[in-house]
Amino acid sequence: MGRQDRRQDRRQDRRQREELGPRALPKAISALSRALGGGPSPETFRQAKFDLPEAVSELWSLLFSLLWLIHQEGVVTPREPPDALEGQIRFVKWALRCHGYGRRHFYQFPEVGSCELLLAFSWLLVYFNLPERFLCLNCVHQGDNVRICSCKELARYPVPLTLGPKRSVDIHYIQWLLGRLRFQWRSLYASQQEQCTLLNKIHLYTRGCHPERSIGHLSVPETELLRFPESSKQLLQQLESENSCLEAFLEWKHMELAYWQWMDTVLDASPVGVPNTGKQDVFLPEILEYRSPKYITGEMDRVRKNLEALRQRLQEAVNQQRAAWHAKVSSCSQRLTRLPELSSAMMKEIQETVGCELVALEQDCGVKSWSHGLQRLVFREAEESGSSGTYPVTKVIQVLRREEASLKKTFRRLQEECKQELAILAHGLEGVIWILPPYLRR
Amino acid sequence: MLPASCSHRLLTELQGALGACQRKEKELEQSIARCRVLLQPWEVPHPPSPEPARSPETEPAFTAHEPAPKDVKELELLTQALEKALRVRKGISPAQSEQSASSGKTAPPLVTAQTDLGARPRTSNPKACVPAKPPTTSQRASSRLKKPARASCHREKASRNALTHSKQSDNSAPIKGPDQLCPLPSQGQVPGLPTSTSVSVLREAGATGPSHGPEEEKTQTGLTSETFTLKEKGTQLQLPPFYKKIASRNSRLWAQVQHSQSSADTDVAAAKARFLERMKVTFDLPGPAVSLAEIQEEVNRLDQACHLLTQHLEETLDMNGEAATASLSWEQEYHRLVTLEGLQTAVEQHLLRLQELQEAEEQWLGPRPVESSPWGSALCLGGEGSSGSTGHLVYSSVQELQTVMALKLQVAMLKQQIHLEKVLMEELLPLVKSESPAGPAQLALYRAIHSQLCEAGECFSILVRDEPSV
Repeated sequence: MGRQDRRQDRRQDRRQREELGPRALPKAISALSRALGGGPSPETFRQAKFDLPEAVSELWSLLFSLLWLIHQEGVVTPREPPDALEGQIRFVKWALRCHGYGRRHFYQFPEVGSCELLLAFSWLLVYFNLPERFLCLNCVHQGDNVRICSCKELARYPVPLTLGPKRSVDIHYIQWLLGRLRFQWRSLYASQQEQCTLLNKIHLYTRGCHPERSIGHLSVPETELLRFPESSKQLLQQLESENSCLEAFLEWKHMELAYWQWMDTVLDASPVGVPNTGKQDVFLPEILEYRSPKYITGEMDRVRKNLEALRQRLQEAVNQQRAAWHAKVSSCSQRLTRLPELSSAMMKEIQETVGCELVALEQDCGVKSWSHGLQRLVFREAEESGSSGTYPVTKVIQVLRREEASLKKTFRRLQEECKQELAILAHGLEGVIWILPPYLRR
Repeated sequence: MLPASCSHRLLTELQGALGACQRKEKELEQSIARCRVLLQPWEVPHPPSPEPARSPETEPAFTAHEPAPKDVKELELLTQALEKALRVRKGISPAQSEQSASSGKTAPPLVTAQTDLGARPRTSNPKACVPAKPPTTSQRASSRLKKPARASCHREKASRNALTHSKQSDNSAPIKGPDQLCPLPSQGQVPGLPTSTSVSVLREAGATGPSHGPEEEKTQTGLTSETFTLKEKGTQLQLPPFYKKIASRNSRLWAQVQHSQSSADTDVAAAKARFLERMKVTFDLPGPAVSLAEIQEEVNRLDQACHLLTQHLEETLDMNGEAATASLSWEQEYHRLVTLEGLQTAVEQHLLRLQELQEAEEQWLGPRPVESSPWGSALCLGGEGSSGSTGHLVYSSVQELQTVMALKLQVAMLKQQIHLEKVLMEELLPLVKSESPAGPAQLALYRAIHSQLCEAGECFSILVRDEPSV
């Protein structure tokens, strides 16, 4: 699109916005409600602005459904949502507290005004980027989707122990469990290879069937659609409702400004800094209720230990390298009057390059160069140049191989460390000869 | 026996790891089962009534399959037999021929249908068969006509029920069959298959169906039906048009959504930011500035950072393998030095940040309680939302796909292994350092620990008691 087209679009957008008259706000709100899968009507919002109690329960259920959906993402063992309004309210308060929502009046007990709820809802809209995120969370998957990044594979979640209190076990039991784990890894590998073959077969056999040329073949859900047309009804319904949500979202995007202007007025109108009347207690939700503190602090400990170990290794490596460098420099300067090879300009250049590399590393930590999201698997035999939005598998393989190599090295290093420690022990044992197992160099 | 706290921790970790593997295994099994179901022959339910004369017009969308030579021979034998039978019959009942004329139209497809005993449907020359024996089939046709419509109507009801599921309104030219048989809309007889332009596939398949009817009226309808396997005919599939419409609208809408996100509106963004600021000003609850959710996110980020920095360190140190340092050029040496120092500063920064986060977390949670609450599994505090539009991961051979998936799994398994190794080292090495005079149980423990920590549990060392000979 040329610059002129973009300018025209912008002018069109502005014109559309300027057309926002008094009718714009209810339309915006109704579009927002529809984009969120059917929420309260504009009337409820109006009632909320004036802190009327009729709007309270609807707003609570809206807040609950949105927060529950967001927090189901990535949960390993899905739990039942609390049915009663009580439980729902508690959950909402807990979630907002964890995300740092700090309006005192919101946590009042037992009654919270609808204006407060409206403010909380709008805050959620901004903080979670809600209409977009809702759409993404609910989007219907029509393809065979995989994740590129491996951080969520075999993700570890602490399991509540069924053991009685502090029973002690034998080392052999631990070894047995570890053996089971090794076996699991092997069977996982085999299953995955099988899955790949089957997927590839289906892709091969359905070549040329997909309406979109860029994809070209059917995926498993699409083939199932043909095999079991009775179950296709559900998929179609979901797709249709997603379509209407998307349309409502696009409408909302045009009229969003009216909503935020209105929220400004709501904020102005709401009483700020009104001291707590004696009747209402502020009841802060117990953060520990839903989350084991050991999990958070456990994670933090783990990361800290890793960083500290890394720091130690780096210290040794830096010292070593510095010594080597100085040795080289001094040996050279003894023989010659000036450093032949390395001018200060080159040193600066190297410093800059390294600086850029490290900055790129840091950025990788924040935002992976490839999205964490799901990618659709597409089988394409010919060697076509990748268009935008397609990731060739070869690049992914390269990155993964690097990662694998580095992890293997780390693992071997740990094993070496253990060997040294245990060798000290072995020497210290009196009256015992320790014969090490024959090494199989892998 | 291991001390209690040590056992507790090891068991928690190991069961967590095993649970994660089992979950993944279940996922894979489900996916494999789904694929297998699709790769097996699809059941194509029978249409009950024979196809009247549409075969000359029906051009199947796919390429014709030539009948196998075996089938051709069978066809010839059969037509000869039928010829004979007809000659006999002609002598018996000339009246039958009138009926045959009326049902003459049904004959040609029936002939072709009959001769295609289980073979793939073919476009080839219905005409070749038609002139051969229209009268011969009259007997069959009439017998079929007379045949109790019970069976056919029953079958038809079944297919009608199946019909109601598919709401196709196009292509519904009803077949004007003979009156005794219930007329049937042409499309959708085989609800298992898509019915857009390759309806003719179904018609051919349907045509073969009734041919077996007289022979096997007692047998189940599905038995001798045309089997559809994805392998042979997958390329002929077509998605139903209503689905295509909805799906294309869906992708168009997503494209629009993406476009609207990329061309962000600055006014709206400013308004939202202002609202957020104003709200923040009104926050009057005490607490650290960074929320719990943010703490968790940052911890994850630092974890990832540590992982990447370690990887970079390994690569830097390994740059020249075991080559002597003298062989490194000046640039390389200096590069290495600067890199290592840079990594060092980065790690220091991360540790500082972690310290701050830890202090903030303590403010939130209070001094660390000894016992954890009963909720062991954590509610994930809202990760980042993934974008709805998915890119395409393009692979070009099954080996590539297998490699990439295997590598992903391997990386995850290595991470698990490394984590467990660290946990084991923390818990078990202190046990080893404690006592020196060693009884047999103690020695067994050392042996086990050594094998687990150093050999990943695969090899065991041998401990021999060296008694001074008396």
